[in-house]
Amino acid sequence: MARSDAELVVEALEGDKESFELIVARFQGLVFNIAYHYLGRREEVEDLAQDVFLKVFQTLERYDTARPLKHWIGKIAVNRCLDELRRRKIRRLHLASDLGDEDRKGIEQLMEASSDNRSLTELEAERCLKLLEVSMAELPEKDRMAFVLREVEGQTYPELAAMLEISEVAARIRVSRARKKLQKELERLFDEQS
Amino acid sequence: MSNRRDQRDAGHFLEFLVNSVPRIEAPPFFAAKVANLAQVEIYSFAGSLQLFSRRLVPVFMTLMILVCLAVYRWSTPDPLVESAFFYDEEHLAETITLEYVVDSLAIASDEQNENH
Repeated sequence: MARSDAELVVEALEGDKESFELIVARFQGLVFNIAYHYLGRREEVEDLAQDVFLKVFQTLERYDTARPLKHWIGKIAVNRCLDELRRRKIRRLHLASDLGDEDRKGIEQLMEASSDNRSLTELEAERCLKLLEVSMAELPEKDRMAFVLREVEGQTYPELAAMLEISEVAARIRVSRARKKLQKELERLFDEQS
Repeated sequence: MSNRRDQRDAGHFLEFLVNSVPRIEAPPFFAAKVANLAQVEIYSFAGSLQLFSRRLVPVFMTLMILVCLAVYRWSTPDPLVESAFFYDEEHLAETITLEYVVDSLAIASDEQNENH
């Protein structure tokens, strides 16, 4: 029978390496994809995820077993990603001026694919993420994270609120605001393309 | 009209982008690697020092509180002890002497004679 998160935590605190390995295996998908979709760079994700889990291990004693472990690990991952973005100070790409011919052609293909509802190649899927990252560059950090957690990662609003340490209402507001801004950004892109 | 269509298209396109972004998997043995690193961290000198000090913090805090309480207790005079001055045996021994008793009796007998 699968051990519960709380049981694994207790065993890991007693020095059981296998239990900690199981915790990592259970939540690595969450951490990898939050980092990948928020920062948009595949090559940096592994190092960041490693930092997150080492931090989880160092602070495991402070974890309250009455709360879901997913929230605790998600919160650490979110904070690590926010720090990383601040450190990087991502330059905003202006869709009109900064996208090259190749990118524009790629966007056109994506638009066609979206209206035809056809499945995408791997390269096109990567392009979707790039386009999303460029469009999100103007969003405030937490709005951007709220959008990624809710719309891309599919987290519920209570989970989102726990990970971002805000109320559920604030989480809903952030997601809705981000969605509106992104739509405007994409409308602008449509204008530029036509 | 066109603006509304743009909005609808943008909404649809955004949904399409969000649903199409690729997902990634952790590399094989990632969990084992991280668990090993965490273990190494425990057994390294700095790690064990950190763990040791983390466990010592509550003990140290309790000790500090006890020391503070003891210092406070010794440095503040106890009002009960202060008021107990009159019951101090040494004090009584010093003031009630044989001479004092004789003098007191003499004064008392003088006062009695004067009254009569």
